[in-house]
Amino acid sequence: MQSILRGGNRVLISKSTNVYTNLALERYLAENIKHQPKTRLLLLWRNQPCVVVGRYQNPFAESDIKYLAEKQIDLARRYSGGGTCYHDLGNLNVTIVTTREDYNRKKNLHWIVNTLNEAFNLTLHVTDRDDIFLDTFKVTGSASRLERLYAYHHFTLLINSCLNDLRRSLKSEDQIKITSKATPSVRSSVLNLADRNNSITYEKTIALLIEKFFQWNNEKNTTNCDYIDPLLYYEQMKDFENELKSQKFLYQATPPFVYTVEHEKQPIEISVSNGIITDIKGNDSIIDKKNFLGQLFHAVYHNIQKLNKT
Amino acid sequence: MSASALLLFRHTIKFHSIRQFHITVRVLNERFYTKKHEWVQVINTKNEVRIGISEFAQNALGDVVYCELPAIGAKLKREETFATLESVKAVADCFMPVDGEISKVNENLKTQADLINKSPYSDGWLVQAIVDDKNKNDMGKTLMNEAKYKEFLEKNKDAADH
Repeated sequence: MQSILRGGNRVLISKSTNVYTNLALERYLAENIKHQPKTRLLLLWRNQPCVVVGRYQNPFAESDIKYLAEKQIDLARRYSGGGTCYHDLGNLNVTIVTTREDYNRKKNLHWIVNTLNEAFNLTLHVTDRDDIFLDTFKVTGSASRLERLYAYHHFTLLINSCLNDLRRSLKSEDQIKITSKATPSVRSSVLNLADRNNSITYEKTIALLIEKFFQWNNEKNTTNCDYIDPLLYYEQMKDFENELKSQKFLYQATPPFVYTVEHEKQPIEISVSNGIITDIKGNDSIIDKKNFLGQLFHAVYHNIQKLNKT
Repeated sequence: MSASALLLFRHTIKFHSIRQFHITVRVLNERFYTKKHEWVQVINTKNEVRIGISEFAQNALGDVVYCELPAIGAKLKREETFATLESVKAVADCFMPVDGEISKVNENLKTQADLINKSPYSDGWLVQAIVDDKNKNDMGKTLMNEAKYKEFLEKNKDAADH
């Protein structure tokens, strides 16, 4: 059991496709592995359809919450920064964990780009924002979290995702109604790697990354590669997983914002702080403030939408 | 040069040097740094310190877009997280340089997080805290002064960048 916490140059591939489980696994490994200087942990994982927002983002501004619920697409907030992304089984997640001192995003990205370019005859390049582009199309963006002793850098690779579902899920009608200091996503045109070279598959990419990872790190012991079932570590990971699944972390960790609806041609401004409605400005005679003040915004979201229509 | 002019000149020099001495003492004397690039500075006689991140840290982090600050009254130990900054891509924690009780947070950062980049040592400070005498007096031992910090940066120049 303890072997998954061994340090050194290692590759782990998660058998789970649940976004909450995988985010919890990532955090659990990052926090508990004895990271040795000059070594890296590579964690590879993928999820059933879901939308993942950055640590300081507003899920209402970044995705279509109603659509996600209808289609049973999971919505999660991660611990790292950056913008919102859509995941499905055609989107590979790559996490690279190092000590805080060895954290270097550019090195990681150049390794990925060179490896993929060489193997699949592509022309990927890294941008100033640490995104990976193929011509003018984005195939991944970077996000990271720096802690006192360790740091992780993760990004996705669009291999053969359903881009229509991606666009539909990330379309937000609320975006224009929300004013806040939350981190906005930088929206870009996206492309699947398989659309450029149809021999690229999820399985081939994983096999390639594992092989090249050990070469990159000058690691002779190439047996340090394991498929792991996070369920076996449920007890150790459950605090992270429960937090990630909670409505509190998903909604109340949103930076303060103001949501403006138009009610009988009058704008009504709803201020939300820590997920709770703290103030309502607008036509007092129409709205029954006490139905909203002090309530959780996400809990009364449905009723707020009704205000908008009448 | 006439005698009176000389006298005036000497006085100016004297006056000037006295003023400079005062500025040096007030501004440069008391900033200490951690290895994680936070700085701390005693700001008054009530054992209150001001804490922020260094020029190096703000540069390495890139444009800060959001910052989460602690509640006033929070009692924090040295090396505990007191703030979390999000830059264009990364989320990074900041750690207390000393034990202390948070007395004030920089409210301006709530709407202008980029002050941390523009002015890390002045308008971009993060929090103020009350520390005890021991923590105040030990800062010179537990932390690096300006010169030592510069040396530290120089030595670690080739280490991983952000």
